[in-house]
Amino acid sequence: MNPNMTPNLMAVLPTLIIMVTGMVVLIGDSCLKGWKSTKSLSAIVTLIGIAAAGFFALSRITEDSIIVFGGAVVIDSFSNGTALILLATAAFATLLAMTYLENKNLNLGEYYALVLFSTSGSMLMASANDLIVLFIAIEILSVALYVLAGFARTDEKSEESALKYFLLGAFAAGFLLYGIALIYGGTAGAAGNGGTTNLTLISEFLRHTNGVANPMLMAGIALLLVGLGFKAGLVPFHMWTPDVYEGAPTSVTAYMAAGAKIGAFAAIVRVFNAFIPISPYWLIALQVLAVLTMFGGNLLAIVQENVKRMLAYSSIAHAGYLLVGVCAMAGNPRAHDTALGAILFYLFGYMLVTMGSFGILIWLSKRGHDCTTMNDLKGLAKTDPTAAYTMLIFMLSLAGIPLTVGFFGKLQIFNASLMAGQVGIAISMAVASIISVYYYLKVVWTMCFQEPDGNTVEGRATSSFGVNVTVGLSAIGCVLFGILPQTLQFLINASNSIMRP
Amino acid sequence: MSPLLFWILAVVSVGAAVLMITTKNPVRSALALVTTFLCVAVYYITLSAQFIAAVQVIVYAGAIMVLFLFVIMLLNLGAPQALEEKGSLQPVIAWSLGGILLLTLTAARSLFTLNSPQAGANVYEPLGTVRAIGLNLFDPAQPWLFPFEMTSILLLVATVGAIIMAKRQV
Repeated sequence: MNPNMTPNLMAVLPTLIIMVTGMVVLIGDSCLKGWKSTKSLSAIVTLIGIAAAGFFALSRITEDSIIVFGGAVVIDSFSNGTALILLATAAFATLLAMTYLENKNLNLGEYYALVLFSTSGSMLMASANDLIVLFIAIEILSVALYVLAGFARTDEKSEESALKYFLLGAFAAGFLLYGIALIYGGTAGAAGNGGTTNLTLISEFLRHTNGVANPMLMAGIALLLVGLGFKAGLVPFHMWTPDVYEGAPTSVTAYMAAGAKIGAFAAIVRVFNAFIPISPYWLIALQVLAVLTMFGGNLLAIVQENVKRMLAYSSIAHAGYLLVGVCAMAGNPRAHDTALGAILFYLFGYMLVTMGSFGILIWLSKRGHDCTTMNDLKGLAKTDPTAAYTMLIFMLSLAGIPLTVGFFGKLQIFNASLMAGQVGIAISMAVASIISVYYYLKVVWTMCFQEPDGNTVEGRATSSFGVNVTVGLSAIGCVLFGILPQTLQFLINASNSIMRP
Repeated sequence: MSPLLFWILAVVSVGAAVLMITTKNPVRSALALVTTFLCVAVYYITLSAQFIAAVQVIVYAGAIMVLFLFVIMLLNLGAPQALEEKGSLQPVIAWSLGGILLLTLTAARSLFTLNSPQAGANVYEPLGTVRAIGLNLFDPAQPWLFPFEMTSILLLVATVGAIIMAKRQV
């Protein structure tokens, strides 16, 4: 091996550990004879790999940023912080899946391998410094998610969701790639000959254009936004979200809702940070998308009778709030730093709550019947108070009620937005949050103030160690970080490694 | 490139392309398309883009064509009358889109200064060879090594995924 490669490989060590763990699980599950006789060995190996990667990511969270592999990848505290959130997502997705997949007769080692691979893809998205790397990372994430969405192969809805996700995702990938090609053309002369796909060089090129963008570059940014917006589930590119979330197995939905969104927003932050010198061109587009996403997601969520669909629309609305943060990045330097910290904090809080609330749905799902509708939850407080009151915490956090982690996430994004002087969008964020309280509390009302009837689930049917740990940790984290948000200060500081160009 | 070679290629490729859309037999149509692909590959070689030429032959004339023929075989489109259609808007749309493309290309020819073919063939010679692409791709100082290696993970995921989705029982 070329000795010069060692620092490069060391820099991407967490991602490599995750990829290698994925391969070990894949080989062990299919080739080693004793592997399957040990119960949930795949899941245990997965968790060990995640823990090792998380250890390395955490130990480097304060280190200076380095650019490796000839400018293709940047490793800084932002990428390490995002990696930590993603690794937590993967760990929760593993814990949630163990008993749930067994009940569905789907306990295949490939599930864990695919979760690991898609996590490595989203970790790369957070550290991509080149649009080509970004594209490949998105594809690794997406291809694994397409398969995971259709993992319940005998279930028609799961198949449908996989096919829908795949077809629309392939379409979005086309937009993304075309956008990258146009950006390459639009930055002609940036790197000596031809154009560039390197984000550092693009940002440098834009700084020397005095804030004037050429039409080819603008078209490229627009197409790139469509591609990334699809992954993040922004209105009007959100059509796939409810169907895919509803059809996919619940543990996959939980992973998809958190993992894909974190990766997509890490990428949006990186890419649009490089585009800040020409922010007057794209800021208005992003703001319109943010308002559409917040109101579209929240208004459509109100009429949903299926909890998974409702959470899907709610995840769209949360993508809108995050986009408000991205808009605030384009403001003054102080707003830029506040917005970045807020986005990272918000992603962490969103991840905790998403994993927790889907975890409760898994708790209540029994063999042959997934708990998905409002009817299933009717009067749950009488049949299973623990599940009902834990769900209450998550719903309050999603709505952004004080003393929960969701409140502080929203508050910080709101602050950043005001700091950037974007008052209009900050107000629409507040209004959208108020609308959202209605349907979150509708779940609470259904659980606590309605009488159970024949449809109500009896209580925890899939109560296993993994699900208990996930729901417990999420609920504790949700309240703890809601009361003491400063304990997450290291995560907020991690975002300072992204400089305003 | 010698003018003689150019004209032979031009006549064959355009002729094959016209044959492809006029013939009623789908298999003949596919074979005419292969001829066009191969002619384009030869053009690439004359422009010193060996790598693209090889990819053109392997991917388009090879893999994509096999897919086409598979579809023709699976849909049993062998009969010449299978592709006949009446009263379709398709020819009109195709003619108008083709006309727009021709106009755009003509406009581009007059708007931008294009290199003459002789100069273009030699200036970029080192860029298109397999050697040059390989050296660029595997040079640790270049940013292409990492994404290239990452595609292996992408292909692995796609392979595993295809097997999971296709097999009813594992």
